[in-house]
Amino acid sequence: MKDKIEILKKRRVALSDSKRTESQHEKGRLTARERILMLVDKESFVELDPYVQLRSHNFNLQEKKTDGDGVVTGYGRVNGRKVAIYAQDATAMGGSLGEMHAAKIAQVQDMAISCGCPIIGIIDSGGARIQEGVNSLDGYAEVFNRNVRSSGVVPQIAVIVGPSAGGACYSPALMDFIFMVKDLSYMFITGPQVIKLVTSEEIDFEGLGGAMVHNQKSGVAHFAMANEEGCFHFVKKLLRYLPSNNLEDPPRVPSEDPADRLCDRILDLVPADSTKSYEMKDVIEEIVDRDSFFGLQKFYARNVIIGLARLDGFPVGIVANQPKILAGCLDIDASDKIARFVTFCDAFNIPVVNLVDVPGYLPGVNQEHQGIIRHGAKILYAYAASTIPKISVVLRKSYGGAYIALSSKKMGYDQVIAWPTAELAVMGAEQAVDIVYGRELSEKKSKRLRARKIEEYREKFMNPYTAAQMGQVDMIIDPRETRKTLISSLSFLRTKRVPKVSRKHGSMPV
Amino acid sequence: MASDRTTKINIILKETKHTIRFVENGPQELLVGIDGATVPVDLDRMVSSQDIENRFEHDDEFEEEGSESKVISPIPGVVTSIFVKEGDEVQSGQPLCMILAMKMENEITSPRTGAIRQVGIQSGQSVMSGHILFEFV
Repeated sequence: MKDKIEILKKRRVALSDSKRTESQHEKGRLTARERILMLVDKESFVELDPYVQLRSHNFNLQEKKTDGDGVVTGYGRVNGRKVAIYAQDATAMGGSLGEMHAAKIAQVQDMAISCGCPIIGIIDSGGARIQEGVNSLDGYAEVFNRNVRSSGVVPQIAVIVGPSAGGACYSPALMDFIFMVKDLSYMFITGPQVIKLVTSEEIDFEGLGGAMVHNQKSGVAHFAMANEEGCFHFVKKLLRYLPSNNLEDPPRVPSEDPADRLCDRILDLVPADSTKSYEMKDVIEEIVDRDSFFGLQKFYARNVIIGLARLDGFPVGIVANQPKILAGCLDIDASDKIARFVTFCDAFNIPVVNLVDVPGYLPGVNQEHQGIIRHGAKILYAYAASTIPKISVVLRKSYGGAYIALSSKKMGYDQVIAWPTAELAVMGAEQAVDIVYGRELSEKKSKRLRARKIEEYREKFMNPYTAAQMGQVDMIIDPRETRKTLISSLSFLRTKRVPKVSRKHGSMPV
Repeated sequence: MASDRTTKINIILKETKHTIRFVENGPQELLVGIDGATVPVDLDRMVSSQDIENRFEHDDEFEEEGSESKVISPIPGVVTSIFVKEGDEVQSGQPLCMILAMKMENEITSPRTGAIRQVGIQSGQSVMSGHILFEFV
């Protein structure tokens, strides 16, 4: 017995090959096991399938085989809560994905679904293992299929800490959140060499698919971090807002911030003149529990802000226009950003609060030709399809199509709350008057008449009372009472139930 | 939120009474609350998780300094004021002009540090998105 235990010990030690560990450290990177240990609670990680090896003998592949086949998989706890994890090991055949490597990932994915816990994928892989041929591609298919089946069941988080090239990109893309590290992570379907060959465009790795490209331009990633360590702290932070699965409510964290605190700073933050812009993030931070706002996709489509926060300790999703950027208009990128976030919140029982100050959808030939119609439709779809408590707070402007999307009660908002400065209208006063009285104004050419008509329109629509008369605004509040009002409304709505008509699923415009 | 996981300590500082609350929030996290603020503490490391997180959140670091040779209008509108003239040295983030668009004053800031070679707009002018507002030397 004892000698057999000795053999086991030796094989265990051999799993963390010191030479391979050193080679990774020399590159300033952590090994797969070190990465996992940074994330999970002490002594909580249980590794699965460490002795799995590749089966293919093509191109003498058996000579390169290692225990674990280039991926460490298992489960552990993060602040006591269960998580399933896999981390690719770049020191074993470049972390390339083959048949058995994929089977290991698939096993922890299945466990995450059946046990109802988040899955965290730590990606550092050169892509498909070419020597295994189509088996490695089928391996990806196995993983992607489970990504889709997990979607809306358990939170899926991808941490990219190395290359993620070709097909490998699509597993993170199918997950809920992607973390990337500056100068370390790359995601692209075809690399710089192939691009140069085909289109003669010259570009380096960072410029093609680095952290900032995907956080700023493409919208693929959600977080840009300065280093690996930061990713793991932020994954923990993110998990604090999320339930473990779709059947749970998100965890409440006891709050010291009084539920009835008045938001006095709002009066200094938001200018009464609706043509003046301001920093919406400050308004959000004044309303939610102190230090609880956690922004997502901060660098992408910055004309809208999305993020998680807490109100009286309960997690909420925040969607807000940013008047400082593009006047806070909705455009193609903002539509995608909002629609995906609202869909995520809905899947995981996180109520959504809108803070609305929006002059409309962004006009422009480019926007039209790129398909603002179908992208904008996603926002409508996401909100109308969601059954979580939804509250819209109209701060100042809410015009036109953007009004419908973000603050029309008939879109499905449980409560529409307006500040006295709110303007709920089809469009701004001047444009409206030029259209409604166009003929009259051009015949009479009277500036005074135009000014009078504008004033009339303003009086009629540029306030929250007209909409309130029709029952489209439930409450008009002192802006300082926003926090208090949201907390009491959400507390009432917490038990909201929506009966659903049976259908397979809708068809979201994509 | 009083529960058996909460420990309270009352202290008097400068003649004002404060209550410090310690709440066990999972095996690895302790919440320390005082006067409306809550600080999560990582029990493995015995440091504030917020401090750790703040260390990694350097938004400014990611605001990459552009290398563009020109500033273009991001939005169609009317130029209401111009703050710089040809030959001016500007800093990254410095306001260059104001464009009234979508019923809102949009401040256009410099994407980089450099000298303005040419101003491509006049006050009161209508611009389309993509219009070249300024060119750098």
